[in-house]
Order: sequence, then structure tokens, then C-alpha cells
Amino acid sequence: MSINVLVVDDSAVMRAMLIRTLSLSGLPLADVHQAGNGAEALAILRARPIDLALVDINMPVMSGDELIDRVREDASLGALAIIVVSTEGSETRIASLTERGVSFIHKPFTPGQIRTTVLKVLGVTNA
Amino acid sequence: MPEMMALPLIEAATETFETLAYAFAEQDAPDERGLRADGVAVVEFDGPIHGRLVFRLAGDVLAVLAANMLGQDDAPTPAMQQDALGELANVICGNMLPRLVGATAVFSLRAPRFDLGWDAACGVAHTSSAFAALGIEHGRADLALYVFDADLRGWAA
Repeated sequence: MSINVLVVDDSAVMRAMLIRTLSLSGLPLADVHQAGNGAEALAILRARPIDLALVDINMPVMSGDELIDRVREDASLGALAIIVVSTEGSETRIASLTERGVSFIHKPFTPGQIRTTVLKVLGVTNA
Repeated sequence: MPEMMALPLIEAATETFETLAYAFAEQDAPDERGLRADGVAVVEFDGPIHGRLVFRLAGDVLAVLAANMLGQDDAPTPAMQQDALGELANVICGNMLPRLVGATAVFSLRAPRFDLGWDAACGVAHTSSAFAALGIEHGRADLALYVFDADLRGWAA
């Protein structure tokens, strides 16, 4: 099974780091898309088949929080696997994210953390 | 007060440099005189406390760190180097604040800005601040934290 991934972060460097980490992790990647904010991400999600989204929180135009709300409200997107990748350190906010069915990776992250979390979210046991 | 805030700042910076940029920071920083400034990023934050983190790299360090982050041998473009500078500042600030005031506090960090030089960014005079200078690669990183709320008593990391 190959997965289509969307990486959403207003930092081009962070997007490149995440994509490189995903590529080197041995995960079965198909297409990898990028977006610089939540609005761009929503447009891609409605136009392309995406299996997993890695999302930052603090972004211009549309934040990761708002993107997640919009995705969960959309019947065609509601089940999308989402991993928030953020510096967010508040237990309160992280709990709010997990209540919306979102997993969380804290920045700074190691490649191993990305791989482990992605495999867990996708339910892949042997990769 | 500055001593209380310097340790979380140093810890957050050290962890960020190691994990994101594969670089080890030391508390023995080279003399800034003679080092070319690579860039300054400012991250302002709001929450239980509000203020700003001013982050400067000097000594041709930024190109190396940015290349490390991107996994490439050649120096990234100036735009990507600035992006890397901002991302490092953002991650350091985001990791330092919970260490300072506790894991339940909710903060809002603004996008890094690059329009202020070091002197202009540090020109605000406030009583609660901390400073750290770290040696990294062959250059140095300077971090100046300004907290606009003077009294941090009652907040425990």
C-alpha cells in the first residue's frame, strides 16, 4: 500500500525536512504534496486523494487548528489521518488536538519519531 | 531572575540545535568581534507571560545549520537560510516557554520577523530578561529573552 501525503507548514525548510525524513524512513510513499498554510492545504485535500496530512499549527491565512476543524466537518475528508507537527508544548492544547482524533509530534523531532508515529497512525505493523 | 530564565533558554536551544540541525552547542562561545553576523530573527509571544526572543547567528554558521537541516552539502539559498533561521528561533522559543512557566500554559507565537537588527530588537528595556551565548560550529549563537511581565514569581517549570 503506497500512501499519498500532504505536508503543511509555512516554513519551506520544515516542509523539506519532513519530506526528506519521510522519504528516508522506508515508508511506502506515493505522491507527496506541500502547502504553506491551511487554505492551500484544504484546496489540495479537496482536489487530490490524500491518506495522511502532517500539519503545523501556527500558520498565516489559515492555522492548523482551523484546518483540522474544517477537515473534520467535511464528510468527504473527516476520516483523514492527521499528525500535528508543532512546537506546541501545552498539555491543554495537545489534549484538545487528540480529542479531535489527531496525533502529535513535537518539534524538534527525530526521524525515528516521525516514522514511528506515521506507522502507528496508519496502522502499519510491518514496514 | 535572569539566572532562572537562562537555563530553560540554554536547554531549549541546545536540544533544538542537536535535533534539528545536527550541531552541538557549547557554553563557551567565541568572541563576537570579528564574526560576521549571519542574521537575526525575532519571535514574539503572548500568553501567561508575553515578550520576545531575539536570536542571532554569527560566524558563517547559518549556512551550515541550514544545510544540515535540509540534508544537503551545498549552502542553501539566502531565502532558505533565512527560513531556517526563523524556524530555529521558533522552535527554541516554543520549547523554552513551557520549561519556564509550566506544561499547562498556553502560548501564541507570532511568525518570526527579520526586519530588526540585533540592537533594535534588544533595544527595549525591561527588568526581566536573560541572555545566553553559545558556541556552535565555528561561530556563535546569541539568544536574548525579554519578558515584558516583570514578576515571574508563582510560575514554576
